[in-house]
Amino acid sequence: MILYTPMPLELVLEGMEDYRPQYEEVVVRGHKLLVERTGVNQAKLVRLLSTNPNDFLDPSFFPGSILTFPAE
Amino acid sequence: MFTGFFPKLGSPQPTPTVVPPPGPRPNTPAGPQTPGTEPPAPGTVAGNIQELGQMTLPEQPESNIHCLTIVGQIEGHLVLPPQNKTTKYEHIIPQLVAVEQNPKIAGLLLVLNTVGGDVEAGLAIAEMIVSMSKPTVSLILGGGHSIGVPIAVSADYSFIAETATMTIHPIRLNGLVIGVPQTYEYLDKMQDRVVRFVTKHSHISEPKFRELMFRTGELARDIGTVLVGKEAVDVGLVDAVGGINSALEKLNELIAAQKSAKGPVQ
Repeated sequence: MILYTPMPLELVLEGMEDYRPQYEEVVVRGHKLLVERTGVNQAKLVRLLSTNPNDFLDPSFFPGSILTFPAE
Repeated sequence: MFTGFFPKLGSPQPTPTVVPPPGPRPNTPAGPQTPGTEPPAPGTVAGNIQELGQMTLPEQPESNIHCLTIVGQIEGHLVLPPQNKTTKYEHIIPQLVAVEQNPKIAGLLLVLNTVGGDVEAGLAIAEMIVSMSKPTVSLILGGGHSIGVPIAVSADYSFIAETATMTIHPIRLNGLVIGVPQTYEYLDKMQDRVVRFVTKHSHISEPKFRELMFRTGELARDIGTVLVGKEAVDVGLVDAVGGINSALEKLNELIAAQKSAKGPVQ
């Protein structure tokens, strides 16, 4: 990977070694999502796995969205 | 699969609207979930999701343009640490496919405030935009640096805010150790891709762009040039200085021109 940026690389890549996100796959409303757990019942959407281009225009599936799973 | 959503005492979560039926714990689905099963049965993980945590705007008359914002670092093949704000190219690319394909969308407005990022990802977005049949207008606010430059010029018409800046500098290798002579050549090739793209899709000449790229004395940490607002227009990189009104006006004009060229019946 080549980064082409005027930002100092030590700033961009700081914590790169320790950053090991754990991803999990969930199905929400029939859409397969790749999420990163952020709490006991919260997860952050990382990637939408879909072959329908129109799914990518849905704001609820934008990367970074927080999914909340209700506590039992 | 999601496992281990243990109930927490005193959890701030509201009581779920969907009451899970007795039986197997909802957080441990019995079998593999098949995609496309809709709606998910209550009691499964999917059925328990109350909201996706994003603001939804009230229903408005649908806009015929799509606004794509490119912010922060353009993230490529490596996931950047979380202090970076990133634009995910794997989401942008299918979005552009949808914009091109969706008959309700007539044009694309590209808003840039980016500090560059991955060469491959940036060029991928730029190539997607340049090959779109629908009118595209870009607007640089704040900054459109490094790999943001090819993205900015990939639109049919580009605008730069008066105070916005564009940094043009050479590509340097990072993260990898230059160990073999080919690496320099490789880097040069990567740079040529960017230079060729920019000169092909804007009014700047290749010698001029390279001159700006290798100028000394302007950047403290690097060689290169910072272009502010009008300067980017003067060198031929960007078409005009303007804001959101001029960008939208131009986009509507291009949409109208395309419509009349196609004739009343599409």
